[in-house]
Amino acid sequence: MMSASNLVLVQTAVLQPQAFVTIAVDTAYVASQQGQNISHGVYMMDNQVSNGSTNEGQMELSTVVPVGSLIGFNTVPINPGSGDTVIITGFTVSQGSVFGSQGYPQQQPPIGTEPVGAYWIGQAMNVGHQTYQIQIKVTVGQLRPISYYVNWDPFITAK
Amino acid sequence: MASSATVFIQIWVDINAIQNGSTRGVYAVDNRVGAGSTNEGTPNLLTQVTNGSTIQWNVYNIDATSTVVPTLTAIGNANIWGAGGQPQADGTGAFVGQVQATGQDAYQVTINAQKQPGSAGITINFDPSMAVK
Repeated sequence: MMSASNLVLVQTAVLQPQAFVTIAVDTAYVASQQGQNISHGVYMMDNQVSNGSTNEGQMELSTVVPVGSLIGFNTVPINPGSGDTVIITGFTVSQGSVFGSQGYPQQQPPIGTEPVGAYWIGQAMNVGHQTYQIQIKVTVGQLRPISYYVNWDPFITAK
Repeated sequence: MASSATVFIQIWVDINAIQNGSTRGVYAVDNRVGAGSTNEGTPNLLTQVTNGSTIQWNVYNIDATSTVVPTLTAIGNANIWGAGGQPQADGTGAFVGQVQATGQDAYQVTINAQKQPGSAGITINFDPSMAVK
């Protein structure tokens, strides 16, 4: 039985991250390597180099943010006309606790025409340094699409 | 589909870091690392292409939620563009060009961005390279 009174409207404010990480992916390269041992073709950049971030443009980006910052993570294919897609499938933390449990990244509504899963937000809840893992799903081809999963270990420092 | 480009170069801009006359906060990547491109993620990107390729350049704010949108204003001349001339704006914000001569050249890219909407524009020039085989 469905009626309007059964529906609960949860209105969430659109979050505005103070820090932002873009992950640009050479999808054809990832496919050419079958998603295995990827050390090129995935480029991470943030908007925190003035705050001390290092390894910009590399897989092992080390982001530095003020504690409390919301951090946006957004994936994009470098070839926009290919129809290939890149989304984030999840995060883990292997060392440190900058996110804690409260700031663990959550998937957000996509930005513009991006696919669901391309945009996530985490929050740097605790001062310190953490090694975390991002896993992305790279889908190549449109007639018979094939997906490859890639994960790696960047860093976040909150101060 | 904006163009027949097969080579894509994305220029990512950290609006918090940019200053006139500096390339800090500017990162260029392409979809040609499998062909041997180097210096990915830096303003000194060296893109490897085959002669005749069509190339598309776009510039983006790293913060995809920001209302500040950097613009690509020029791509300078170089021998590799050949008789077809230097890359041109395609009307969507991108620049598109074709390599028509073999060799390696640096070419100047000019981008413009504001720190906040309405503030004075910051102009950044940098010189990536392209090797045409």
